[in-house]
Amino acid sequence: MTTDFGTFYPPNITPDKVHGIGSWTEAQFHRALRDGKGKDGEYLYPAFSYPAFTGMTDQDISDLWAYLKTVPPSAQPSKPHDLKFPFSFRPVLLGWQILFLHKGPLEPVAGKSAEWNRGRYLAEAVAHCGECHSPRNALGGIDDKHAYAGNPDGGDGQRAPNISSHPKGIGKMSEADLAELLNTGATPEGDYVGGGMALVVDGTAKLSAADRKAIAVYIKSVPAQESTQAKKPAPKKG
Amino acid sequence: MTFGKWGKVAVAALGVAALSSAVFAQDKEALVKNRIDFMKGQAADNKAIGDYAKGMATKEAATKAINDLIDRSGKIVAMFPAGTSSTDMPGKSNAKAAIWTDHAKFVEIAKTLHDTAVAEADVIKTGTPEAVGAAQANLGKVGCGACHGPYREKLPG
Repeated sequence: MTTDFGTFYPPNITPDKVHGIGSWTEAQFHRALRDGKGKDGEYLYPAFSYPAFTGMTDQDISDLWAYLKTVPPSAQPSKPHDLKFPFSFRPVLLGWQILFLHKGPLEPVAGKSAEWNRGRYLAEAVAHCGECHSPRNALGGIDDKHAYAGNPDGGDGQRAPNISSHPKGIGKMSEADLAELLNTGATPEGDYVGGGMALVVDGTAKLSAADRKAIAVYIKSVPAQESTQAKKPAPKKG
Repeated sequence: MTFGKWGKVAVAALGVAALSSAVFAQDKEALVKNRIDFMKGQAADNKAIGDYAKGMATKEAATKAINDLIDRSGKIVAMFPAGTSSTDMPGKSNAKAAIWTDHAKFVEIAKTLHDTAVAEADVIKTGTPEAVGAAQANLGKVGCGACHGPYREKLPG
């Protein structure tokens, strides 16, 4: 993943004891998702979406750990990230975490329905929708005031669209339309999503219909936001 | 400044070339607009079939739509002549240059869409609406979605 800070390469997370996470303990795995720290306590880069995963419940993190242990191990070494200084110096992430890591688990919001809270949990913590669909500030933190307003530089290198209730977002879609998109990838017009969202739909299609509807209920409740615009290139000097 | 015979010929040739270029540019714009409309036609077919699967449209409408989709899927590759990518026509075309640099894969996906649509026609003929819904979801994934990821540029929203 190419960013303003350099290029991140996803590491091997299979149970291989040398190149994967086979030598990790469950507690270390919990700490990675909850606190953004690696096996030896080193700060992790938020290209790994722990700012979202921190919201998961202990039980769900344990379930995820149990599943990952069943994945076939791969002996492929992880490729080191290629980052610019000072971002290549992990301790600077302490400051980043102080500013942008809101440790979970995510607590239910009083006064909201169980379905809405379930949808919020799935969208914010598990499916981490906002990680791609929200704009980021100069330090790479999510701009919470404009959550879900889209990101010209989405995770798959393409524009992640506005999914707030703005007419240029998903304002014209019903909850049922959105639940259908999460199930089949189809838009109300008969178009189909591609790229990174197609991979997301591979996952959301496996959710229960009730969970897809809960996500739709929550996302549809996100206030309308103007779409995030792409950064204009700096004017040439001279 | 005066032109000799060959100078006048050269100027005339340049004029013809410039005119041809302008006409070709207009042709390309018309072609891209036609292509976008063509794709919207495919989306309309998808919607009609999806509506049938959800009990919101007739079997006849779904049959008409799948036949149209089969017909269209056989024409897709020809709708993408070289020189009509988003690099060639920024802001007008949303076809990524990868269509032409990775053309064999593009052709393969178009064929998959066609073959999947042919198989889906049988499902519409003999299957339940639920089976049609599953077949349509598969078509959307292996046909439409498989192409939209690597080959469709998202335009500014």
